[in-house]
Order: sequence, then C-alpha cells, then structure tokens
Amino acid sequence: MSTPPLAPTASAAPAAPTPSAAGWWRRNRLALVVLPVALALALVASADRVRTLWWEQDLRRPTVASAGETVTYHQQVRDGVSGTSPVDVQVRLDGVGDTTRLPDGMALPAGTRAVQVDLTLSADPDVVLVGCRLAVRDAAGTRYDDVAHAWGASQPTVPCVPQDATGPWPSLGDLDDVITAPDADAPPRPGTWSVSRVVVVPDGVDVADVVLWWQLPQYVLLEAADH
Amino acid sequence: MSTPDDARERTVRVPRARTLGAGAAVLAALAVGHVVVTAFPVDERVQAPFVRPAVVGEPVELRYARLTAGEPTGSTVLDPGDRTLLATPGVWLTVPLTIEALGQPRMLGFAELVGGDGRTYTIFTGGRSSFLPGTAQPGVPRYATVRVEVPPDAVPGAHLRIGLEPKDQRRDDVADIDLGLTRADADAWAADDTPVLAGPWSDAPPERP
Repeated sequence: MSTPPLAPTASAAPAAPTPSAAGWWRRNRLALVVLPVALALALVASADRVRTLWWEQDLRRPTVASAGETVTYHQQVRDGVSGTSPVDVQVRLDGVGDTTRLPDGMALPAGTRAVQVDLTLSADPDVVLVGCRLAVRDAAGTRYDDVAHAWGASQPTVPCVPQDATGPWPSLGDLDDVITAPDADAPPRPGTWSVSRVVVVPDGVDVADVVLWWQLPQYVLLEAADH
Repeated sequence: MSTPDDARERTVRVPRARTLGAGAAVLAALAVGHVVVTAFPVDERVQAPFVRPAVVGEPVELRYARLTAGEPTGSTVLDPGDRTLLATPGVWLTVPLTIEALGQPRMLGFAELVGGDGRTYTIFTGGRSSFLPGTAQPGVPRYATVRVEVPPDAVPGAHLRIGLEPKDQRRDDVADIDLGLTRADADAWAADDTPVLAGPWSDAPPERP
C-alpha cells in the first residue's frame, strides 16, 4: 500500500523507516474520512435485502382516505411482460355494513356473517384496472379477503370494475395478437361507476377499513365511517 | 556511485519485510475468519425453520395459523371422495387437520411425513400423496385431510410436518406433529382394505362416524 517508489530521491530515504505517529494520521487522513462513509454504505447496501425479501410482500404503503372522502390513487404497475402500465383511479367508500342480500347460491359457514362493501370509482376508460384485489380489515389489522368463488357463490372475478364493462385487460405480450381480449365485445367502461361486493367475515368482527390494491406493497386504505 | 546503491538497498529491504508482514497478517485474518465461520455454523441455525412440536388433538400456534391434527387413520385403500378408489401395497395414512388462519388469508402449501423408518416422505399439492387445503380465511376454520402413501415400516413413530411455503421453510414456523402411531397400527392398517375417506377441503366440520 505505502511502498515507496524504487528509485527515491536521497532526501526521502532517511524518513521512510520510522514514520512518526502524527505522520501516519496525516498520510491516511483521506482514507480515515472515507472509512465511516464506506461502512455506512455497506450497511445500507446489505439492508436492501430486508426490503426485497419480505417487506414488500404485504400491504405496506397506504394511500389513505378518511370516511366518505374520495381519494386519487396512482401507481405504475409492472405488467409481467416488458414494462409498466399506470393505474390512475379515484376511489370512494360509500359504505360498508352487514347485509342479508347474499349472492346467488352463497351459504355462509357457521360462525360467520356477510358484509357488503359499496365503492364508487372514476377512471379513464383506457386505464387497466383488471387485477385489483379487495379486502376488509378489523381494528387489529386482520385481513379478510373478498373471494369471487367461494361458499357456493360466484361473484365477478374482478371486484373493482363493472362486470359487463371491465375496460382493458393487462397485456399478455405476443399473445395479444393470437387470443381475443376478454373485453373485445364489451362496451367501454363508463367514466364513473359503482360496485358492490359481499365479503364473509367471522361473527364479532368489526370492519375498521377497506383495502384495495393492484400490486404490493402500495394500496388504497379506505376508512370505515364509524371508526 | 555507492550512495544511490545503498539507498536503493535500504528502501527495498525495509518495505519487503513490511510487505511480508502485511501479507502474513492478511492470511492470518482470512484463516481466523474461516475458523470462525466453520466452527460456528450460524448459517444453518439462522436459516433453520422454527419447529413447533405438537401432538394429535392439541392445537399448535404458528406464526400464520393455528393448527389442530385429528386422529390419524389408515388402510390399504383410499377413498378420495371423487367416486374412485386408490389401492396401495403399503398403507394409506390420513390425518384430518383443522386450520385457523391468523392475520390474513393463508394457503398452507407444505407437508411432509418424517417416517419412523428414518425416511422423509414428500407430500405434494397434487399426486397420490397430497395436501390441498386451499386458502383459509381468518376466523373461518378450514377442514382438510392430509393423505400419504407409505410403507408400513414408516408408520410407527411417524411425525407430520406442516408449513406455509411449499418450497421454502427457512426462518418460518413449521408444525411437527407426533402422530402417536405404533407397530400395531401399521400391522392393522396393512391388513385392512376398508377404504379410508380423504375428501376435499371444506369450511364445514367433517361428520364424525
């Protein structure tokens, strides 16, 4: 590291064998300044795995709307083919509460009840909203998912768009040319629409908020009215 | 003429000794590091699953679910509940499980049987030995049956292991259920051809015979 040149000048020779302690600090002052910075960078770099391994595999970054408020949500969603497509949507929670109007064929398991979630959404007709997931949570944060096909009932697969006018579906890359798009015969999605979903929760669970997401870790958090 | 030569000798000789010393110090540090890493196999311990021991009929608390194993049954013939029958030269071992998801909906995807013969029998989410509980919602108990085809020698002392991720149990909870089986169970099942039922998962409790 500090090997002197092989052909030194005569004056440098006597100083080399016994450098003083102060001289060492002086000669390495640059490295001493850089060392703590490098150490911090190394720690930050290794901490990155914490984020990618599990932190982002859950609902982590909320866009919050208080009860009855309309929230504007934006996210660049990776489409799994090549790039990203934007989700630009406005969401409002109209209500969430017990219901006795169950979807056709639904038989509630013992110890559960049905909760209806009413949402109003607005978006441009060409924004891809297929792929959204819906759930309700209690005050402790326990999540109860909206399930399209369960307990004998079949609700539309996509919970956040009109069943007969879903709007565009995510791109499948080269397959787009050879298969018919699911929305090919459907009318364009209206600018504003409402959806109702029935979610099954255990008896005694109080719904504190409704969550809607496209790709983790971002999500829309819609607070329920009485919380 | 002599002065530059002397100077060169001095400046070359002294750093060479120092360089050798530094090299030896680096090698020593590497050796110590190697000894530390191999003498304390922390990697395995850090990555090992958290094994939660349990017995039949007693709930076991996992990070992601509360799990209760029912009484195991066995036979040489299995009724998968789809109007077919599966026969085996060994035994079919079935274990009813009650799954209560915690925190969020959970799909338990890992099961294996650690046999009393020292072998591990993989249980897939498809195929003859299978465990398919679907996604259980929190607060809604899910009833599912594990079925595994094993030689009779594997039955006495067998343990059933259940986890969340199909391919990766590192750093996560795994239930290790002692099924409490004996040689007498193995012999009785190997000689029995009454079909044992292992139907699909359900949110309704199975009817007890």
